[in-house]
Amino acid sequence: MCAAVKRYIFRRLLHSALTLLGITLFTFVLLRLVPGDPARLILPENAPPAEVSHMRKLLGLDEPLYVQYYLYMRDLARADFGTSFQYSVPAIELVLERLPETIRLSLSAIALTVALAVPAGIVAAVRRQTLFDFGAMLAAIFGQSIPNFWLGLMLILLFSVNMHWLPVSGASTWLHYVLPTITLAAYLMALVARLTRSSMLEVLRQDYVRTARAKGLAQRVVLWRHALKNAAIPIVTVVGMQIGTLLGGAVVTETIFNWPGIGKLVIEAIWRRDYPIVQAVLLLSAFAFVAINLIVDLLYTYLDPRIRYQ
Amino acid sequence: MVRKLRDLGLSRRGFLKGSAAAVGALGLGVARKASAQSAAGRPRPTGELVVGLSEDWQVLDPAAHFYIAAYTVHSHFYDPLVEWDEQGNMVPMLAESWKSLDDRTWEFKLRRGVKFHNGEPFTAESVKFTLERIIDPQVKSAQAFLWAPLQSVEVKDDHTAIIRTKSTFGSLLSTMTMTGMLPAKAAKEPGFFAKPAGTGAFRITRVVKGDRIEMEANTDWWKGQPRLAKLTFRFIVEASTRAASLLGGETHVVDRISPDVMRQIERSARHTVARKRSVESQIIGFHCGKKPFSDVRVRQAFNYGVDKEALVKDILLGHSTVADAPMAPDVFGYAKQQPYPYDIAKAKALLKEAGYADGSPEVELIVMKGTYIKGLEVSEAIAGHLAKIGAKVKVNDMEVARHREARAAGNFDFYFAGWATMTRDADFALWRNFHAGEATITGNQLRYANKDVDKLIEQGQQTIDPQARKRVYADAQRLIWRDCPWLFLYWPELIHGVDKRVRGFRQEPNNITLVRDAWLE
Repeated sequence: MCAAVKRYIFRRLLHSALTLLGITLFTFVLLRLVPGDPARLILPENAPPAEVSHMRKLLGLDEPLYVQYYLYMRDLARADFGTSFQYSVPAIELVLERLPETIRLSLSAIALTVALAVPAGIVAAVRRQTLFDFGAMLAAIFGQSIPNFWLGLMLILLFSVNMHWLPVSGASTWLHYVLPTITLAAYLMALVARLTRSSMLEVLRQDYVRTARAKGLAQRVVLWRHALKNAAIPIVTVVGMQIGTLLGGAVVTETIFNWPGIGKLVIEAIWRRDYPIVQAVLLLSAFAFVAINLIVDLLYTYLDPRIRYQ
Repeated sequence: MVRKLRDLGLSRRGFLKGSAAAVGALGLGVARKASAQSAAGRPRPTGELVVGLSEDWQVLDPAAHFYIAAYTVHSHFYDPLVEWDEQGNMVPMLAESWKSLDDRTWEFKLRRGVKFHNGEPFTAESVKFTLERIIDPQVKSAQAFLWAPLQSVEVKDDHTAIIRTKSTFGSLLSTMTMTGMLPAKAAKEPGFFAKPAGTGAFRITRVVKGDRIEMEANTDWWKGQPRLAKLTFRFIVEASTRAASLLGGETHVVDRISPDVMRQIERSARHTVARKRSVESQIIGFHCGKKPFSDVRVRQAFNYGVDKEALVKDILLGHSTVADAPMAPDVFGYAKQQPYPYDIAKAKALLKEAGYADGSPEVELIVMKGTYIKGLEVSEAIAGHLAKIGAKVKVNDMEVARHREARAAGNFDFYFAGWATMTRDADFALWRNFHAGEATITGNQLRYANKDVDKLIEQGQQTIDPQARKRVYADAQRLIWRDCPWLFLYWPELIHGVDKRVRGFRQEPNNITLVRDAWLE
């Protein structure tokens, strides 16, 4: 690895650390600006004010905001993400308990996308203006415009309630993955298929593709080695960004399928103003995002040697 | 089943009574008999029952919550000293008998030979530890306020606990029904509440927070071994997923089914619905401390101006009862009042008398997003009704946390909410809502003040004789009904979706889903 690349990586790491620091401050302040008192949500309705202030004290919410932030950062430095207000256990424990389910679901959605949408996009581009192209792009428009909560509910009604083929909810067996994966991947597949198609179309018009063909290379080689590698940059970017997003939890899909993942955890935590959980999830998902962005940027330099950062 | 019974000409009430009796006979009855005989008389526990709950129980510490779902789940592995039976009688659980020695002293004789799941014996020490822990300021207790009158618990001997209170504690027994007993030794260990041991019918085997809790039969249960070998509670927040999980065969009992989904379940050959009137009052709370609702005439006008019958019939499809008292009939101390009829002319006259011309007052009704069945639809219909008496109502659907903040801060005109009297005692229903003299102590969010009501509520707290308490609470309810700090709406019906093979399942009026004595046929 050359020195320039090393310097580049170092600089990117520094940027990433600063970004994460900014995110801790931003989420910390933002959460507390939203109206709603966590203490009041633990106590029953009509709880006496004295009880509420006692609970605020127990939760550490009676300190001034800057002190709370200082304490939060101090604990964070020791990898202590705080104790969940509602569950009274370390927030990170809850997040790590849920993370594997979210990762598994996200990866299966990404795998489905890459396996179906990328080839579909390529074929649609190569056989432009054919029935396949129209069909694939029509399906893509549907995939992008159908709200996923509706799709999820329809899939449950059809395959679980009526046909009894697939389970409704939970994450115990591979069968449990089928419907949530389709629901989660629907939008992503549509996006990636369309992107692949347009990106391929652009590349296929380039001179070097014509040159490759003129050299007498096989269609397969032209497509995979010359065209796709160049068309891949926007696809890799989008898929990478989506992994980051998915790791933060697919709130709607997880809620509909009662998937024990991060999304369901964080949405409940937001309703209940369980700051430590929300902060832990946001920070981890920001971390994933930043890390994936870094990896994607490094992949660029591999995919296109002209891309070099100074 | 419901439809069949209806075909037989049974009324809803008749059906409920009948089913209560049947369930009692099948469930509790059998359990009692078994405990009277011996555990050996009962068949070996078999089968697994899965219950889908709409709310997350969050914690397994009996002091740290005040959620219906937590009570439901806890009731299966903890036992209280006493509990309500289906007819509303106080019956023994871990206490064999009890009496008040004087106004501030109670003696509880405890059941012998009861063991916690970890083997620790249940003794008066458990009672002392459990109750004193609730009022310990170091403990993150959500129930300290309920037990505020408690002074101390004295261990007279292993099987006798003496409870002393600072003042007369009229609702001690009903409060006791909510408190599962803890093993005094083990519960002091760190991490105990991750997988606690109770004395209950089931012992916890696995906990996935925010998702599920799995239990197995406690074959040494003092009431005789349960009939189910395994019991799982799952938290399924999304209503349609909950219904689908039942219809898809993944769950056997699910709670909070809305009336429109109910029909879908009734159409299924393998499923039915169970219904019961709850102890929840669906109400609209007025801010009695500021205009326009500081004027009792405006509050009365609004009570006359809403067609409650229509709300129940058209929006709730009949699955609620129009309220005729501030609290529901299954609450101890309930006293029936004369409902405010739907009377536009009278409502208009009252508003005029209070000085409001047509097109006023202009008020905002805040609703708790997604919390109450058909809450937003009902609120919008109410705004429509009130437009007919000249009032302008803007409906604002607020997230729960914001709604509660607005109410605490007094930053509202009136709010749509429900009040579930979990302890099934008038004190909890009235003191918590209407005792205004101590607005800062009780957190009376209505800012309602009537000295006579305050006095009666205090009297009820300081009286132990049930009949005398009933009389006091009847007087209090009459005054509250006249002053209408609430717009009295209806008592919603609890609707559970149930697999037809499930027997012995109980819907408690205080919303608790009880499958302790259930089995699968």
